[in-house]
Amino acid sequence: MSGIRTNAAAELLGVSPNTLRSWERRFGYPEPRRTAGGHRQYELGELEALRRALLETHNISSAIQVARQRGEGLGSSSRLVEAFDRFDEGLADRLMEESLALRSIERSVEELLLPALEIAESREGREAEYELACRWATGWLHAARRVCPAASRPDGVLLFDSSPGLTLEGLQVQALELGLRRAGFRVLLLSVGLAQERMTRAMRALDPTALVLCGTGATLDVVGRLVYSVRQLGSSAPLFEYRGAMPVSGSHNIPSLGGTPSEAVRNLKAMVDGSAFGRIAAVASRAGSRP
Amino acid sequence: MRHLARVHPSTEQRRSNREELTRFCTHCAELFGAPTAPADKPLRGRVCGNCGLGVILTCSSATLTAPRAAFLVVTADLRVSASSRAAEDVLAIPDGSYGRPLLSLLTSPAGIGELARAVIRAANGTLAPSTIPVLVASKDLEARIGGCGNPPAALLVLEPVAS
Repeated sequence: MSGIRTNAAAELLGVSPNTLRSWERRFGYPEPRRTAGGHRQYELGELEALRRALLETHNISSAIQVARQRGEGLGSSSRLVEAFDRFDEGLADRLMEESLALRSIERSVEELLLPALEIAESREGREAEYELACRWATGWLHAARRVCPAASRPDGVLLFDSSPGLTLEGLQVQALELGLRRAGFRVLLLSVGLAQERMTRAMRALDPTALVLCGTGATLDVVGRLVYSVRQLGSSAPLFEYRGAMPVSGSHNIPSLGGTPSEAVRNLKAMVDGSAFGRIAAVASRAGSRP
Repeated sequence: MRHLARVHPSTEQRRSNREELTRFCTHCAELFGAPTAPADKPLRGRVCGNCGLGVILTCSSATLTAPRAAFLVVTADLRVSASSRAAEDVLAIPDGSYGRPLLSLLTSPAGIGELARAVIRAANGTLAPSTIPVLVASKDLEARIGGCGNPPAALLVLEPVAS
């Protein structure tokens, strides 16, 4: 791909060629390739990112810092965090749309949305931005769920969520729900603390093939009562955990579906479709009400 | 405490008329007179032609009266987004002040609440400056605070206390 020569690049940024070369020496950005003849060739993407950053910042070093982050590519998680920091839900929507032009929904969720939320969660003093991020992400995942195709598999998956309200962990569960729906499963997401009598109709309607314990808020006692209730209702569906949801630090006999939505969906599909599932179901059936 | 932040009287008189504006570099703090760039070419003249390290912003000429002043550009979330070379000398922070919370760099005898209010008011578009005493690196100074942009921010010009 041909690059942009120094004069044209300088013109695009509204600076002199000397200024552009001085930035290269001082900041190492924008970093041109060299032609065989030694001429500088700038990347349009870098120049575009810098051009936008210059209009949004108050000095050159911060503009270059912003442009570098954007240089990570279309719809990077840092850009999504930037949208949260500006409380700009429109920009966040746009970044996800850009990402969907290049990636699947699953990849957009796992490579853009969830990493951005992880960054937003990890920062101190940015609680308002994190809350906005969680609320916006909840809305986005719900919107994506609404346009999922109808279930194409007979298998039902019942997710028991123990994550506290508006958190990254809760969004990981919602992302799993979306992934399972898109994989054709019939899915129901219920709170882990639901009483047995409230669960009966849901269990009968779904007739789950698998139960998945999600979130990190359940105690061993709650899990025990949950499994007892499920078995009392006549279900022998095996129980799995997602993202270390079992509240024990040592080993246990609840198989894990993995740490990401796509990994969990892949494992569940493999187990439902393959012989491994039959063995797990049999073990779960023998285990009775033991979690 | 509110009365301790006094509004610059000369600017107050001009508020009903069109503000006199000036452009300045956020790094070398040179002044460039009133804005003239056409709106359809926002990047023309955006970067300082003198030092190549600062962005050209616009503020009220009552806020920034002389070139090479010590000033900070602060966003509405009270973080420093740029500082002039002279301000870096005053603050004497080896890593620079960019990105730091304003209130970690300076305080005010009038109260940090008053200081924060003046900065937020300016960052939200009030060009007319107000003056508030500040304490910077154990030095008693005055900060003249007015709006600047774009993007919108507050300009804190640090000066010795007027006798």
